[in-house]
Amino acid sequence: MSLIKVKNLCKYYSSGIINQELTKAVDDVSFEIKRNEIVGLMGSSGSGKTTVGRLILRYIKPTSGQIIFDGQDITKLNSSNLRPFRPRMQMIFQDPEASINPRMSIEDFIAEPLRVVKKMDKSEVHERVSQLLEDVGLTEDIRKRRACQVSGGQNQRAVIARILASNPEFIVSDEATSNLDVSAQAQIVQLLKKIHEEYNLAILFISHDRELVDIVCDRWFEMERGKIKLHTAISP
Amino acid sequence: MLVFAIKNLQILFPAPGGEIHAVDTVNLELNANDKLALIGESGCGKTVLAHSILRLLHGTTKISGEILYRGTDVLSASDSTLQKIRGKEIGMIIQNPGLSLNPVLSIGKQIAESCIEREKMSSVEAFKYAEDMLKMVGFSNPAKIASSYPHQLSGGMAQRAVIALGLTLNPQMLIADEPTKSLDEKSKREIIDLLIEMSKDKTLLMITHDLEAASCISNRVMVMYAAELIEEGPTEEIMNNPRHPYTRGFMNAQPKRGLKPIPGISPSLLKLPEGCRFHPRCSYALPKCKTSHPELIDHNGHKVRCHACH
Repeated sequence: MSLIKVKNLCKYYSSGIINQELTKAVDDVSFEIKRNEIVGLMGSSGSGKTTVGRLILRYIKPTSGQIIFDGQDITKLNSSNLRPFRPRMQMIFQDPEASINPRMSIEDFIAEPLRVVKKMDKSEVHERVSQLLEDVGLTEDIRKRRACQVSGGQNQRAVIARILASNPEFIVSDEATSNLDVSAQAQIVQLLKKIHEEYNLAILFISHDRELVDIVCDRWFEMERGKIKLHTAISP
Repeated sequence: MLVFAIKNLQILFPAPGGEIHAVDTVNLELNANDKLALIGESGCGKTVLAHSILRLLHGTTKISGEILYRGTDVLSASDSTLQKIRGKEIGMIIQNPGLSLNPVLSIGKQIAESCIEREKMSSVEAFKYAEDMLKMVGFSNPAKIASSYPHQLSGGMAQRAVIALGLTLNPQMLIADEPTKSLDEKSKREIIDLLIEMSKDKTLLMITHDLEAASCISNRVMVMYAAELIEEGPTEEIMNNPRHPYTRGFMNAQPKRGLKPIPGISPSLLKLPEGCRFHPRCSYALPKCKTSHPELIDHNGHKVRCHACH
């Protein structure tokens, strides 16, 4: 059964006051993602990839269409009804430095969902953070440091650790490696594949790098000007 | 003809807990029309090196060595000499155009500004010239771009605008700092073609970790790791026959070549490892790599800093 089902999803923006112009950022997009599947989403800048990612996670409201997560329609839910879904679906952003609160230590950053959402006590939090750091390949001495004191690759690992802290079922990775250099990129991509296996995750992997998508994903589709242009299955 | 040379350049940043060795004893030479690509991981000192060339670093930075442009030492040059070199002799294409452009000035104004200031053009002439520059870098509607603001441009367009800005005063040498970063495939290809076209009769120093861009544009490659040069040679030679284990690892991390990461992370520049700086991550490390620091040794024009390669 598919975890995510998107039907005829549209997002239009209107601009201008007198001569209203309609920008069709996402136009009639439909697809499904099964549990335990990595699906690639390609396209050049401005083709609507990120908007699709944000729509599925309901960070923004679609103009029309339907988003079904684990059998439930989340298209029209208001923010309080969306709350139970938030920990189950998460996003990795392009710029890890910008995702981490600059005033928080890496430890606090990872522990926040454990304290706030899971209501764990101090010793439990400490233990779980250790486990998470190990899972993403960070060492204990990073705990007290801040985002500006560690490298981009390490920051992106910390972001992934925080995401894993809330036990998600679905992750949108939005150009998670395009700000990193090649060797950090390879490390993060291998890490994503590893946690995909270990945590049994579904991942929507947004990228503009054809070769990367070919290696990482089970199948992919490509967008152009808000529409799905190509929909190709990579034979298993 | 030798245009540009760096001799024993050392750059230190004072920091709590010691000094950061951002660039350690770098030597390089550029002849007229040379196209050099400087590659390496984030944080290895590439950008600091580029900024030191035009003395753009913070005043507390300790710099020693020589940076010679046509015989003039940039590091000891007076402000007025430096001003003549900046932009007019050595142009800079800065990193991250989205953030580097002034958000409250139109693109045309930012280009015209330097023409008015440096070339004593009238404002009308300068704006006309700015449009010509934008046309030269491939915009089909330069007048519209000149009147737009940075946030109205896409990543690829902003990169073009920054290239136009770097070329404004027609410098003989160009420094391009990560010109293809975070661009999609199509715009990347276009920017590479543009750079090839624009740097035809110029000396180019390109900083990048994009091996595709490096192999298309450059004729020589230098690889930096933890503040020092570890390998240098003709582009084809380095791309097809890299000798330093780090360079090999770097190449194998490319999606095209299997996406195999180099284990570990690069060392902190505050406390560099003893011996070879790469040995904690190196699968070919010999016992002596832990204790003795290898020298850059020339093997018929292909220089490598590695005990295991000798």
